[in-house]
Amino acid sequence: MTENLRPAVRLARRRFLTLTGAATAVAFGTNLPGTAIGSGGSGGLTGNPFTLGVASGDPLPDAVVIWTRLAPKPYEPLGGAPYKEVGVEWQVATDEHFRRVVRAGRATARPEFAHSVHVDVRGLEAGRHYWYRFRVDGYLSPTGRTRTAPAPGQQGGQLTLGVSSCQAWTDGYYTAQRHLANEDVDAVVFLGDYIYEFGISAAGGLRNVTTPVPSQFRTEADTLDRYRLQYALYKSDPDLQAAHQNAAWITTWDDHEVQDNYAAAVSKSNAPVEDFLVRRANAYRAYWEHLPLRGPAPQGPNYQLYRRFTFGRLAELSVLDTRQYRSDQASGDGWKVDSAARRDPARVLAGQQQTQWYLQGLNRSRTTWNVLANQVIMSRMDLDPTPADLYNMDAWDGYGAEQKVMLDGLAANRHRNPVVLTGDVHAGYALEMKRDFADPDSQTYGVEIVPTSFSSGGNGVPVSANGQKFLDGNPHLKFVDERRGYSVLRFDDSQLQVDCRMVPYVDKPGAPISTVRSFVVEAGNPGLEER
Amino acid sequence: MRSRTLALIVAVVAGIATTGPAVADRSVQRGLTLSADVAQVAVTPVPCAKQGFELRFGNTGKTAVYADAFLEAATPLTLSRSLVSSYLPPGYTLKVRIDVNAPRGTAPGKYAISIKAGDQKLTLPVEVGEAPVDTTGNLARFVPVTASTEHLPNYPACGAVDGDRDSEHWGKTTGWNDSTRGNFPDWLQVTFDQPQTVGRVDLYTLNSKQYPAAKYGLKDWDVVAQVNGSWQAVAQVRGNMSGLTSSTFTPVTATAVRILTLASNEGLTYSRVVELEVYG
Repeated sequence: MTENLRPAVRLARRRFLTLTGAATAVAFGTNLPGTAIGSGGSGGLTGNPFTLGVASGDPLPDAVVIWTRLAPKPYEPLGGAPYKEVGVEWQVATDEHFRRVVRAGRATARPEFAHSVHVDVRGLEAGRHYWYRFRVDGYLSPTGRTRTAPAPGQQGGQLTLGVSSCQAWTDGYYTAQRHLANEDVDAVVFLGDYIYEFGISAAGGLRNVTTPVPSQFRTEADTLDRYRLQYALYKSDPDLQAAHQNAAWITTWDDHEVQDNYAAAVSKSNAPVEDFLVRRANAYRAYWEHLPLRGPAPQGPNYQLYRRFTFGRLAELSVLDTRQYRSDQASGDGWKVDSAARRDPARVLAGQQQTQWYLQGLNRSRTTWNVLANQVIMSRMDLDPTPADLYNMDAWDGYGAEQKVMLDGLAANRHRNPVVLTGDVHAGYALEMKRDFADPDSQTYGVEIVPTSFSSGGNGVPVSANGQKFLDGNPHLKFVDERRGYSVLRFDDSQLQVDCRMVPYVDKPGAPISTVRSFVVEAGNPGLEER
Repeated sequence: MRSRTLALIVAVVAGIATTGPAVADRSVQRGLTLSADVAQVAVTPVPCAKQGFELRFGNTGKTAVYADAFLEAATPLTLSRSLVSSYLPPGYTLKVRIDVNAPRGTAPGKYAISIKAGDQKLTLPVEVGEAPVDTTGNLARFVPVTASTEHLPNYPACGAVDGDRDSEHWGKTTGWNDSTRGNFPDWLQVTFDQPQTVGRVDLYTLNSKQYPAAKYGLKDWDVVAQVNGSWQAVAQVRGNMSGLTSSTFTPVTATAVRILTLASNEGLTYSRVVELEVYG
């Protein structure tokens, strides 16, 4: 009699666990992260699947995306997960001990998406911390912390953002990410080059690892399986995992998530467009799979990544994509003198649709600060300190006509306190955006903060020979430091404080972090005041 | 009709279950195609041998798909990839290079690679030949080579032990260039199968018409040998300006030889080695 009843009871109990957070909390709370309990479930997993950590991102006032990927053997095909769907339970609580679980459910990890799990958790309260975790087959994930955006219209308050870019795994240890994990930031903004597509040698570049990087990493990433491998290596790093675990990330991509300096459908090697768009589709899909982005996932070579976040009445953050829609670089790319091609109005970087979306949003913004997450340098940046000019054809300077549209748009919104955040160059810069970059006395309408790279470029130096040329040739450039790190930006109603945080080396683990320079930007009075 | 379909799926599942991953919960994709650019892959069982095939993975269906091709080679063959996953637009065929290698000592003879995708299966024969034998006394030939970093795909470490000393071939996988611009030291290493007596190392750095050694070649390096498990410097080269520098030293019994590069004549850029030769 008891035997006959069991399946029905089990079914009822499973349903109960799925639907009620409190009961699930009890079931979740009995084991440690990464350890298995009981006889295992039905997922068919052969080991701890949470080797790539957990993450959260794209916070809204009532929602946040939580992420993980099941990969018991992250460097093996399919991440060592079975070639089938696997159910994953998740919980969101208002405390790190999960005493008060407010949302819970069951998601499906599918091999078509590398067994990644993206849950857009809705119905949350604005402007507060939450903790989240996953469970499958008795394995419990690490606990992540996240935070929703403040309520729309919320006056005052503070917003703290950690900002960085460019984390070549082969260029050094993720010491900066480890330090960022210990900062009390409301969110992290990542400005592109989350991975690099290049093949990786056994020694792992500047990391010079003792356990050889497996042979399947030697080839350059091109197909979906290979891009997934690259993400698996990067996301295996415990310091990067810690940085994701501590705060929601808002990410955009630059070129290396697909290929060095690609432009829309034009590859570096001028591969047939048909082939390159397949590669781009593979790269975009792998990017979505490994970051805490909302669905739907990219299907094919196009994906709208540009989007906007609002933090009450304090700040709006617009996130650009300056790779997918751009014209090919002028004059064969690289650093070039001025040319008609550079200024050709038919050539675009963000593209007309995205530029209009951005400027219309800026014109309508009701927030004190208006922040732009951007990839390549937007201000004038002349590498030739003599009266002659030398511009980077891959940056906004290489797309002079659209650069002018953007800069004019920012200047017209000077009272909305534009702050441009930029990646790409593996250097910390702070720039004042001028009505006329050639005239230091002309009006400043905004600031551009380049918070350096997490690791790309290796140890770096405070100021290289080129860094000095930039300082000599660009009076609006107020700061150069070419070491690794990130910036912490603290916004409130009256000012923005920027702390440029750097580590002295990344070729060995354990470097300390320090603030090498601080600036204050007063609301209503654009410009950089050194503190 | 329904039962026939079911039987077909079961049969396919059973066929795949023996080698590839379990597919029990997944419907089998149709309309995929698998082929190769060669009817048979010839394999020489030494490190760095450049050999393999081009996998052609197509979609004949009317809609775009994301598809997986699983590759498996008979032991002890190794493949550069055991899974190829890709977006495949309708009518598109993806072409992917697959390297096939076999360790030294692999018995010559016939082997096979099996490839599966959806309801398709391809078996590709492999012929493993005899390992070549070096007759010049150069101990760096046909042994494993590694480097701190490699500027892939055009400047692999394998290029520095391929028997090609010609700098005019630079940039075509016949020489090694590290991938960490501005960072020194870098290193390039050959590892012997058994301890060898080593008394001379010839290093050919980049020295072409376009890139003369005095401007682009290695300037300073140490020759380091692994003796009884520990590394010891056996020779130093400083201020080199020529394409070939031969270092002779009191012979040691080494299990590996490493070139520790310290400076380039170009300044803080790269280490460039066209060929590394090691003699007794």
